[in-house]
Amino acid sequence: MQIEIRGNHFILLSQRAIFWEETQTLLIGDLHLGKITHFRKEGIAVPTIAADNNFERLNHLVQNTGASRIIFLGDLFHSDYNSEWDTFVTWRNKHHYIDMLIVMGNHDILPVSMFLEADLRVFINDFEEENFVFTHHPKVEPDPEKFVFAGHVHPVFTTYGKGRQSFRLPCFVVDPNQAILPSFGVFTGGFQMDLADRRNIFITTETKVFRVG
Amino acid sequence: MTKSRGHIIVEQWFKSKNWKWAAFQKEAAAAYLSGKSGLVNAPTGSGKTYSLWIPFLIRYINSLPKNPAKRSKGLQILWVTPLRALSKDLFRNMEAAALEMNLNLRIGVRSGDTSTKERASQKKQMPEALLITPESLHLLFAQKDSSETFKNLHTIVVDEWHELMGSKRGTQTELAIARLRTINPHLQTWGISATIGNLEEAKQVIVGMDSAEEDNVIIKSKTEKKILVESILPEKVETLPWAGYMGTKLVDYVVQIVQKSKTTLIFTNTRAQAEVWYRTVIEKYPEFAGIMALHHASLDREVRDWVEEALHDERLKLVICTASLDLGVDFRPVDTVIQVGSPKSIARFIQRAGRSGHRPGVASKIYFCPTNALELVEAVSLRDGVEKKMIEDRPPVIHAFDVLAQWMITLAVGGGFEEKQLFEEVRNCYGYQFINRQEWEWLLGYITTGSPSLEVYDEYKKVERIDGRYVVTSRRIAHRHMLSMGTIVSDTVLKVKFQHGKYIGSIEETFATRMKAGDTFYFGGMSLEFVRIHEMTVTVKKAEGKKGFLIRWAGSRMALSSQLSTFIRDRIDSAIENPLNEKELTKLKPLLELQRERSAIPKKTELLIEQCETREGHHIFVFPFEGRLVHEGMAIILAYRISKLSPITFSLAMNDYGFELLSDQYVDLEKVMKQTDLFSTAHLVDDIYQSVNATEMAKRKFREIAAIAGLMFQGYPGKFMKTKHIQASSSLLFTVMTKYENNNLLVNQAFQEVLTYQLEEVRMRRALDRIATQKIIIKITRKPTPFSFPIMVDRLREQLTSEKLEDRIQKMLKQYSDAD
Repeated sequence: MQIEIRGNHFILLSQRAIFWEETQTLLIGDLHLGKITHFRKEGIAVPTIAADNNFERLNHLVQNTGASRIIFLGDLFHSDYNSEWDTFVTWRNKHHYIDMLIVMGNHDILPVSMFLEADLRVFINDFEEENFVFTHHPKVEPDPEKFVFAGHVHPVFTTYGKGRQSFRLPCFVVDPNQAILPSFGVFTGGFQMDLADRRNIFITTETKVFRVG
Repeated sequence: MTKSRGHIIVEQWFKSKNWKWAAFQKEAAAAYLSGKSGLVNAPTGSGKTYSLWIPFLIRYINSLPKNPAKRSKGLQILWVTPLRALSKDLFRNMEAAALEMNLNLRIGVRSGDTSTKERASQKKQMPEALLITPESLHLLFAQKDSSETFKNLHTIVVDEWHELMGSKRGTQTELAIARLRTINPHLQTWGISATIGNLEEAKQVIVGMDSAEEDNVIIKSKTEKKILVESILPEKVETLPWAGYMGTKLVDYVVQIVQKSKTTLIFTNTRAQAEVWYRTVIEKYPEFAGIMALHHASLDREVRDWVEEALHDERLKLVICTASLDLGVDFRPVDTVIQVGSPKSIARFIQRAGRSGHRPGVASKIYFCPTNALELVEAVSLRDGVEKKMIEDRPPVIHAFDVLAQWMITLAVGGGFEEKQLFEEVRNCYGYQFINRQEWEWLLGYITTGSPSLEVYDEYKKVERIDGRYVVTSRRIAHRHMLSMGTIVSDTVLKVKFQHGKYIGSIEETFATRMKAGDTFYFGGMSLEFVRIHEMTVTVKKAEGKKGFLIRWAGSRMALSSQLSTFIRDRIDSAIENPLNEKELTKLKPLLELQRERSAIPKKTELLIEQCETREGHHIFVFPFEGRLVHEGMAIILAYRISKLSPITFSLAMNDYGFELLSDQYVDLEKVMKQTDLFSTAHLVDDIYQSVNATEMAKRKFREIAAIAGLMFQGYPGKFMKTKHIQASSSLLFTVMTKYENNNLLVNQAFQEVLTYQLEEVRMRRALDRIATQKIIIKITRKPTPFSFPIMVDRLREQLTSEKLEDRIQKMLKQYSDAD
């Protein structure tokens, strides 16, 4: 589903990412890589097949969009170092032709040097370009002159229907000056969002994005 | 025949106490002393402990050599109890008898509460008699010298066997008995049980499959206890709500009864209900402060101990409790028992009634306090059941491969085992009599290499095969295994304590994590303010007078037993005519007439179906009166069969009387029934498996199975590991194993448990067979009826759909835009 923001065109993808057409950039929020391996180290049995799923979806995205740049909106890696980081580095090297940036999130506790070694451009706070701001924590009062893309909250929305039916699905939240992306990673919780004035919510299944209201 | 020394001493003892050696006790003694095994069937407070303890003492006395120095030492008798709390009381009684007979006999207690010092001393020299829980018994087998420990053991008694048998703890007990029998082929095994429907089976489980008919026996106590049942009725039936299960509307009537009695126990069905009742009573009758207490399983052990002591010493007038007081110590001062809400089973009702009138010859009286109007029918049915002594069965657990896997690892941690010999031994257990070589080999594979899809991970390899024996060599694996033994898998609980450090009890993580600082909640009869949560502890302070949340505990609602539901169907049939002139039914008459006016009252030969449309959508209600578990299965089956005809989505709800299929589309049932046989038993299991719901249910069951079988480590004690993570990983494991393995016994077991316990397949088949003979009456109603209303307002719902997700969302979102 394509939406227009400040004269630019953004595609909301059912893979829970946004593609910015003008600059051929993929925006990806809250990957939380390493979480599954982190569990396993704690004695919680999670087959690694679940972890592979993240990379499958990343590959799919990169191939389908032909993106030349990826901006990670923080919480790329869930915990301190574990072997899943190496898997990420391998994946990154395979896609060396793509420019990758990260704005740091609260979970990104790995040393900055490791990100740099993986050939990521690191922004501790925000990254700005043409009046667009890319950050991890959503702004409480975003500057109306600019437009913010953020992650962090893992937004979900619940729709209700007749016959006591309901769905709780990840969503994109688009306010006048700010957009929040759903969490990309599997295995992450969700924060319930509500409809509000001048707010658009887009829920997504694995195959399709819907506009609510 | 000359009397033995033991007999003489025991008879003198009885005389000195001025007690009579009851007939069933004598009978049990004779059977025991002739070397038999078996079952003693006697109610609490009838001297059931002495029926086996006294003959053991006779045997003990007779075995004493003339020269005390030559006395053989070591464990002779194990006494298994389901509750730690019970062992205190038992210990007191047993020790008293031994001391009064001047016997130098050591009695020990072994449970999770036993101190390390006591353990060490037991390790050095086991007492002659040991009171133990099934879990602690298994832990003894995880020690290297277990066969040495048990070599002189000649008797094992399992107390409250009816409680243990129906659970995986019963299976645990069975496995331990089988092993002990291998160590000593002459082992005598005895159970003590209250009356249940399947006593004969209960005996078979305790004596094992190889015991010859003439070597075992059931001894029944003749002491019949008279039970009086009285319902608490409001002036007007309108006082009782159509739905609901708290029952506090009748608090004034209940307190009147309490005031007339010396000591009263009020039994509720849930912990939340107990808390509500405590609060309601104290708010309306502040004079009860100090003479009323609360007792449920989430309160700290110390608090509960205090309540039990105070009950014993007649310091309390009223205790509000849950099943936590079903078992346990005799409370002689209790003269009145009140049951709030339907106990759903006749056996449970009788058990609770038995908590009053403990003296021989005194009748037990139990009051029934209904929580909603229709429970008045249950009241009458319960009385029927009690009079006709229709006691429910407690079916033993069959083919619990998770427990067996755990047991195999336990033995491997101990001295190790030889598989052929263990296989034969396990097959002697009732619960594993049908296990075959193939299954056994799967289990051996599972404990040594992990299941096929996990083979690459070292974490799942536990046991090694060395020189033909299966052993655990890694200390880390042994340690982890010992920490996670047991069959009770609960949600992660957090301790609740005051700022100054006193512990109050525990609450579940799911509830605790929803709270924030400043929130208040009711717990342990107090209003508490949430201060903070740290590691595994919730710190609180007293919050005077503020309104608070009610704690929620996980745990399923009990379902109507098969016996009780039969009585209810009978009663409904003739409820309006009320031929026996029961006052409960007279009260209920206006409501029943409303039901007849809006819909119908089904005869025994009829099945009632109601259809109505409300703002929520199109409702279908079906009333088989078979209990909520069977209804859950039937709802799934019906929804699935209808949804096969055309894409449709249902939300399902049920209670003990019927179930509901709710949809956004109208279903023409007359037409549907011409197209397909909705209530057919053909392809029953297939249809259940085909519906996604069965897989979801199995996935949930699998969590417990995976934990018992040692697939998942629940964490080191005191170390916080969120339930959510465990749940997430168990469901992943389930998905992977279902996808990549054909015949995973643990996955199969999860499905089997869903069929057997969650959906009560056997009972469902019987119900469907009955429905096949019934006339189906479909009533279109304009308004909800007294029967349908309680189901309609139930918030716990499941979905079943044959529509595509995207289509359903499209339809739903259309409503949003239509509203604009």
